[in-house]
Amino acid sequence: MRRVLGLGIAALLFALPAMAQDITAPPMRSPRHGAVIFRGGGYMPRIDTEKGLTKKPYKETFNDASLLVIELELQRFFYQGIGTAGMGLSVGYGEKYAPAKLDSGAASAEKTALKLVPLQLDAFYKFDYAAFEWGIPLIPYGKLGLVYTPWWMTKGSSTGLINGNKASGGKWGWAATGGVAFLLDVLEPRFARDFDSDLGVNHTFLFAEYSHVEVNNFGEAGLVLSSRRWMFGLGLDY
Amino acid sequence: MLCASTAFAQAVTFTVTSTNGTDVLVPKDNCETSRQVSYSRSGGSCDVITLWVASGGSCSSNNSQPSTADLILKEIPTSDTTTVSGTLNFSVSQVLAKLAVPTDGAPPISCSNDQGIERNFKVCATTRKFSTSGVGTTSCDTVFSSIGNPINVKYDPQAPDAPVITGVTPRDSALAVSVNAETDSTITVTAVPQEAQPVTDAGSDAGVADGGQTDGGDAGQAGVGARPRIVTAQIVTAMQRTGTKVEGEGAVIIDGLTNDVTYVLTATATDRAGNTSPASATALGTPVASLGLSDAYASAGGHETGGCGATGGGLAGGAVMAALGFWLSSRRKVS
Repeated sequence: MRRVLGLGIAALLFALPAMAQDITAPPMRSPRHGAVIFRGGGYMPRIDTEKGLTKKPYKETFNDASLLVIELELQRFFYQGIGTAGMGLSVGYGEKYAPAKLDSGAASAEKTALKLVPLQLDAFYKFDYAAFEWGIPLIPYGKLGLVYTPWWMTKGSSTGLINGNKASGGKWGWAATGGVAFLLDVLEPRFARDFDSDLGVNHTFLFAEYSHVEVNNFGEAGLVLSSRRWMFGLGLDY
Repeated sequence: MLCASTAFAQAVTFTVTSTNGTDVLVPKDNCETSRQVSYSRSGGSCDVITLWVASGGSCSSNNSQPSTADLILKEIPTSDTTTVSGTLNFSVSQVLAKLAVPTDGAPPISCSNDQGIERNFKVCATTRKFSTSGVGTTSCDTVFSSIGNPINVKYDPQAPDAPVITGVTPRDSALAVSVNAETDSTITVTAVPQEAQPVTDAGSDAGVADGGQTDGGDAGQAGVGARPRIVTAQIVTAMQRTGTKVEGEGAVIIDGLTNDVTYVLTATATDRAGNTSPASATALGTPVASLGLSDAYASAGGHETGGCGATGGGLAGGAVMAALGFWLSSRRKVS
């Protein structure tokens, strides 16, 4: 079994340079300007970490389950040399529903929900030099961004209340992200070239990234929407 | 020649104030109510222009000329070149009165004897059009034809069937009521505290199902003397709540209720024409207090204040982000 696995890895490593020829010397590549990125993943807000809370409202309500968040990011490249740098703006949406609780602690027929719209403006750098010059289809990258997250809590079909005010607002914060992208061009080089010549999409890639997000108005008291999360998605360079 | 061509292009445009586009929906209750249709005409006239209501639902029947069963609204003679617009008034009862008397000895069709049949009429404009022969001479067509954009008048005397309350979901100070009713109807649910239910006369059916609520009605109609068996009419009016099903929502939400109080629920359906159904069978529902995330957070001593003060300058920040996003997406491409 080990021998088979070893042979497979060796075959893959030998094959990569051959694939690289296809993606490093494409005829008539169109210029790259930016990227469109779609991603999704779990988002568990660290509401229960707020200082002074006597209970764990998020855990009691959602049993520590994550929100499902989907995001769209537009990137613009400002530097293309040894790697690529630029700025990106992303907008997302996430929600989580659970039954509200009766006084007895039993589940009510009414639903309660937390809803978020994470907005992020970031600067990024991706080391894609190795992918384009040496044919290694893995692109590590990092991002640092400013985050603003509108949020609201609902019960039934209306927005809930906190101390008589509507349970809604917005929180500022920051985020640091690291990830790695896998260039799909190596799998179908000819299709990738057609995609470029027909639609102007230079590269497509799958990626996984981990974000450390602090969304608590930079340490102010109040709702904590910080998270540590993995996101996965698809990107298109154009 | 161009001027002449314009004059030949006879047309009558009808307009009507309606919430259903060019359709006028008339419920049974408005059978005798006068309806107004505006018209304007352009071009010359080769023959008398007849504005009429086709009871058969087609402007081209009877060779595009009104029959004895149709209601003529106005005739504009050829010599009249000054009447270019005006209004037409008619009621469905007038149209029904023109229909042929049944041959089986049944009474004539009228608002009170509409046979419960949905009927479609059309407001038409017909005349003989100009025609030009191959040698350039102009004459009138031998046949009449429609020169207008007919308005549809639909008389719907049928009230929807009584809706059925299929489920009641208790909420905090509210009830979500699931109702099955005719498609395209507006559902109204009335909630009355059970202890405030009208008292029934001795000897009548017991229980809330017959408690004077069977004529449905919304808040504005309740307890105004039309229900002689309601003893505490004014109290009922003050305590009852109504909710209307909004298109796209799965249930009628009645809010503003008191938790732990049992309410008697009755639903009615109103179709697009405005006919209101009989009331549904009653159902019971009791709102109960519940804790959502915001309640749990507040009870845990959270410091968030919520409301407008909790946006953290979000409008300004959001505007800045939107501006940057626009700049990112619209920045001129540089190769």
